[in-house]
Amino acid sequence: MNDIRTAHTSLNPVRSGLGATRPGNAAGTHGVIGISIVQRVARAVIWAWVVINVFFMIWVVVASLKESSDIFSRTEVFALPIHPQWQNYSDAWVNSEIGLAMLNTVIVVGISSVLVVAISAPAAYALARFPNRSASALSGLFAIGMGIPLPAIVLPLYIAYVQVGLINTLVGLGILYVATEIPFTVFLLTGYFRSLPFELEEAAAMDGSSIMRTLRDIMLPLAKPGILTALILNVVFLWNETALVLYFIQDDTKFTLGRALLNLGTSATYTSAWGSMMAGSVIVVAPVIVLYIILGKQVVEGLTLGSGK
Amino acid sequence: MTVADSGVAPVLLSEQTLRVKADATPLERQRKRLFWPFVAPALAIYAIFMLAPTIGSLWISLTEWRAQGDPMRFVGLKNYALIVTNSLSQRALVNTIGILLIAGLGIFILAFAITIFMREMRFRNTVRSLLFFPYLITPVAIGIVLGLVLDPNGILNSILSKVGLSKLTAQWLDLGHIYWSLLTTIVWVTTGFYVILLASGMDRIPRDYYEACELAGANLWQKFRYVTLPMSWDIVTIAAILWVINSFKIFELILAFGTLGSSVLPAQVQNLSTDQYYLTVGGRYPTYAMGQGSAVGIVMLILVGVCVVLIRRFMRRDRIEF
Repeated sequence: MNDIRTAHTSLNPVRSGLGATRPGNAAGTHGVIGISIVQRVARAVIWAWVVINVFFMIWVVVASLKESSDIFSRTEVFALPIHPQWQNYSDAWVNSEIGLAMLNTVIVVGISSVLVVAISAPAAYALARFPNRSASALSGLFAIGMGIPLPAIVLPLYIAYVQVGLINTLVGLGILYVATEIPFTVFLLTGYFRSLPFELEEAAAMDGSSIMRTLRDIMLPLAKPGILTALILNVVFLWNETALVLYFIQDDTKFTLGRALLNLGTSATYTSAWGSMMAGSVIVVAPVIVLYIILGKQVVEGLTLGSGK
Repeated sequence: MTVADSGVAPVLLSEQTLRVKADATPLERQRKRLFWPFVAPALAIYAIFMLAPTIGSLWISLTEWRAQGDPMRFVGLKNYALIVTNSLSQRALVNTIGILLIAGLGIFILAFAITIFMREMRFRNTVRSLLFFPYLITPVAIGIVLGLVLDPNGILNSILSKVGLSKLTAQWLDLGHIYWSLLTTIVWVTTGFYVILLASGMDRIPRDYYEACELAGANLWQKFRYVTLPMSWDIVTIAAILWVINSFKIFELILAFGTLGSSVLPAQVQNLSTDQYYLTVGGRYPTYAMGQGSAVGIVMLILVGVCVVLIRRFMRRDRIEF
C-alpha cells in the first residue's frame, strides 16, 4: 500500500510541469492565508446550515412540551417550557391513537422488512454468482422496478384488493410493502454479493461440501453485514411510508404512524392542539433518529453502496 | 496500477474461471440448477405486484371507468389529453417538472459546493450526518412541523422580526409563496443525501491530483472542472438518475405541507402524485376517476423513463480509470 502511494506521489512534479511557469501564485494563496476567503464563507454557510438543522430538532422537542398557545406566541418562541406539558405526549399517544399506530407499524414494518430480505437475498445471490444466461437481463428488470412510480401501479392493485378482500387490511398492506421493496433490495444485495470473494465457495466445494451447506456455513456469515444493511434500510423506508397507507387503508384503527400523524396534523388545524401534534411528531421520528445514531454508518454506506459500484 | 485496480482483479479473474468451468464441476451444475428456485419467488412477486399492474394501468388509462360496478368505456387517448387540458392536472404536470428541474438544480449545485468545500473541513463526518438526517425523517412530520414554522405567526417570521429583518417576513404559505416554500423544503430535506452520495465518489479521487493542481496554480473552479467532475462522473450520473426517480415519488410531504391551514390541497403545490390521489381514492368524497388517474400514473412512468434515458445518453463519457 505504502509503496504504491509514494510511487504515485513521485509522479507529481512531472504531471504538474505547468506549475513551474507561475510558482508564486500557488505559494501565495496557500502559504499566507491558509484558506481562501471563498472557502471561509462557504464553510460558514455550511456550519449555519448544520446549526439550523440542530436548532430545528431542538425546537421541535421543546415545542412538544409547551402549551399549544405558547408555541405561537411571538415572545415565547425561544422560551423553554417552564411547566413541561407531558400531557401532550399522552394526548398524542392515546387520544390521537399514535400508540395504536405504533403497534401497527412495528408489526407490519417488522414482518415485511424481514420477508423482503428473506425473499430478495437468494435472488440477489443467484443473480450475482450463479452462472445463467438471463442473469444480467433479470438484474436489469429488477433495477427498472426502482423507477416505477407508485401511481403507475396502485389503481389496478386497488381494484384487485377490493375484489379479493385485502383492501383495508394490514396483511394486504404488508404484502405491498414486501413487493415494492423487492427491486431496491435485490439491486442493493446483488451489488454487495458481487463484491464478496469467490475463492471460499470454490474451496468449500472442492472439499466436498454441498452447495446449501456452503451457503449456510460460509457465505451467510460473510454476507451478514450486507443483509443487515438491507434490513435496516427497509425498516427506515417502511417506517416512513405513508403513500400506500393513504391508498389502501381507510380504517383509522389500522393506520400506521405516518398516516396517524397526518390525521393528527389535520385535526390540529381545527383544534389548535399544536402541542400534541409536535409530541406526535417526536414519537414518530425518534426511533429513526435513534437507529441512525446507533447504526448511522450502516445506513449511509448502504444508501451509497448500490450506487457506488 | 492503483489500489483500486488490484481490488477488482481477483473478482474478474474468478468470473473468468467461472465461465470456463461452467458445466464442468458438480458445483457449477448445482449452481445452475439452483438459479431459478432462488430467483423465482422474488421475480414472481415483483411481476405480479409491479409489472402486471403497470400493464393494467396502461389498459385502464384508455377507458372511462369509475371502479367496480361501472362499465368500462373505451375512450382512446382522451384521458391523456385531459392531463394537458384539465387545468388542475396541467398545473400538477408543470409543478412536477418544476420540482424536478428547479429543486433539482438547487440540490445539485448545493451538494457539489458542500462536498467540495467540505473536503478539508474539520468534523467532516459530523457535519455530513447533521446535513443528512432530515432525509430520514418521515415526510409527514416534516410537512406538518414546517407548517408551524412557516405560519404567518410562526417561528420563522418571529425570528426574522426579532433580528431586525421584519422586511423579509412573508406569508410563506399563501398561494403566492407556497410553491417556492415547498421547493425550498425539498432542497433542504434532500441535499444531504446527495452530499453523501457525491462525497462517496469524490473521496475516492486520489489527493495527489489536487496537489498537482495546486502546484499548477489551479483555482477552485478549475480543480472542480478538470479533476472533480470528470473523475466522479459515474456517481454524478447515478445521482441524477436517482433524483429523477425520487422527485417523482414526492407525495406525503406535499399532502402534509399543503393541507395545513386549508382543508383542500391548493393547486399551487399539487404534483402528479397528489393529482392522481385526489382524482381517484383521495379526499373526503373520492371521485374514482380510474381512467384519468391511470393516465396520470402512466405519464409519470413515461416521464421517468424518458429522463433516465436522456441522462444516460447525454452523460455518457469514457470511463476514466484511476
